[in-house]
Amino acid sequence: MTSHETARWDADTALEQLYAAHWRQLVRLSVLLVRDVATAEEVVQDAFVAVHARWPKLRDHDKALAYLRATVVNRSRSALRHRGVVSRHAAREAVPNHAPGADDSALATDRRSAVLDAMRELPDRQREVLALRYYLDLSEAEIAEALGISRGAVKSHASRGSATLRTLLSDYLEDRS
Amino acid sequence: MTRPGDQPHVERDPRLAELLSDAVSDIEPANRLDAIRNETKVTSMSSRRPWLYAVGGAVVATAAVITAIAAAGGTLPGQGDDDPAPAGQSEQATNDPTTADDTSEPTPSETPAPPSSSVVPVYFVGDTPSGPRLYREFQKGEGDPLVYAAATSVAGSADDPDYGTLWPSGVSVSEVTSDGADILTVSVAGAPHDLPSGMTQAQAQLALQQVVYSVQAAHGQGRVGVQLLLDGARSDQILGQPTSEPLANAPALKTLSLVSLTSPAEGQTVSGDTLEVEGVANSFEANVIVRLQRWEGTEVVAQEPFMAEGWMGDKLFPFSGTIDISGVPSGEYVVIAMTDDPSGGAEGPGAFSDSRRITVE
Repeated sequence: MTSHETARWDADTALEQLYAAHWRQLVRLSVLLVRDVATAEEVVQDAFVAVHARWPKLRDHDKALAYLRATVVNRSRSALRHRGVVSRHAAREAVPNHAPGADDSALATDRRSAVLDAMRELPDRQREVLALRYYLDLSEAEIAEALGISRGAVKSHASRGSATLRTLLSDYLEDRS
Repeated sequence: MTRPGDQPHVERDPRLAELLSDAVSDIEPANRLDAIRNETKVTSMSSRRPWLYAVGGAVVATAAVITAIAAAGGTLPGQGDDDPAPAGQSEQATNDPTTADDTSEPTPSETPAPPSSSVVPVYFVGDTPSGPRLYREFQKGEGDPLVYAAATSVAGSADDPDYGTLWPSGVSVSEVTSDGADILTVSVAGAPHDLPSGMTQAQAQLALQQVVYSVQAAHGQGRVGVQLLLDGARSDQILGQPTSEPLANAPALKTLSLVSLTSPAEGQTVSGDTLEVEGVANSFEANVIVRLQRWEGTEVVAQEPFMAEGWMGDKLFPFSGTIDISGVPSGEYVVIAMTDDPSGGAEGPGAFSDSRRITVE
């Protein structure tokens, strides 16, 4: 096998390894940002296509993963803008009814909807910082790099976003603490 | 449980973390690996070189073109006198005032180099639809431009990570002298006399052509012969290729990428309303497509057709123009210049491309 073939093999193999390890998690990350699962799948699919194309300039699993995360966040934001007012409206209508005494499964569904709705209430940057911090457990530095903002900005978005979420989700936080 | 305060730390409130993780815990996305595979095939064929050459001697081989280079890359001084390609390119590159414009106009940060350095053209190996070929990159070189061009090419120290060298590591260039009007002598040290194992004849030929094209262009006096010395003396072979006589440049259209960007430079930051793009190409009917694409993802924010100064003949022709970036959000982008492929890949190798990553402010 020539090095040429090795290099090609690497790009495709890297893609498959990244897919196996991160596809589900990145779609879930995007759902936290855009809410709609089909949109999230589109966004993350595009991100994987993009990382394959950029493999020559990345050539490293960690760099590729960082690039994937940044691309998912950026494209999720773009997807939200494209969907615009219509989906925001739909999300409002989808706010769950609180039915005291409902069974656990229904409660869980309600809780999940409430969390996703609350995320949608936040400004883009706060939502993105919280998703990366709380869901992916990234460090402040990693978030700053993924979003292309300063660490100070990460702190301030995290702080404000967390405060808002705690208020919006106070029912669930009290129930569970 | 302690209650996190509102002080500006990046606290990780475990209750919020649990709520967020739980909110998406029931989502099982569809399997899209096959769809992604299909798309990546298209992407790598149409717009991007799918991988790069490692700096420091990764060796790349594909069949057809290499054979062509091996057959064509001769040792005949004066071969193809009707082909002034390297001279034309290099004059533009180094000695022509337009080059100064290239690097100084688009960005205030790229203002003219200090007197001790100069803008030097260097040829590196990169992938093309026809296999590995040479791409030209301009660098700010310190010291003697000829030594800088040869040494940088051999070392593969390209700004663009898509480029590299076919020379083994540990090879250096100590001196380049001009022996009169039409011979440049390049002293190479530490290079293997014989063909290294794992290297093909074609790769060795292309490695020598890196040096030939680089010093010819940096010299700027046309396609002069290039005499290689190994460790200070004439050698019958370097990398297993005959070097006892001066080398000529191999035919441009079989050796060079058919498009090479001059400006913007890799990693350049641009501001203002327009992006100046310059390069050289040999493309069907002189059409060159220049595209500005987001670094993340594949979104194309601008695309302009450019017209090169020609397209017939065995050389690359200059093209230049501007792209309106007044409405482009700041961020990371890739500038891609492509040759026109009217067959859409149905005939011939497909479109050649060169790319630069830039930052728009």
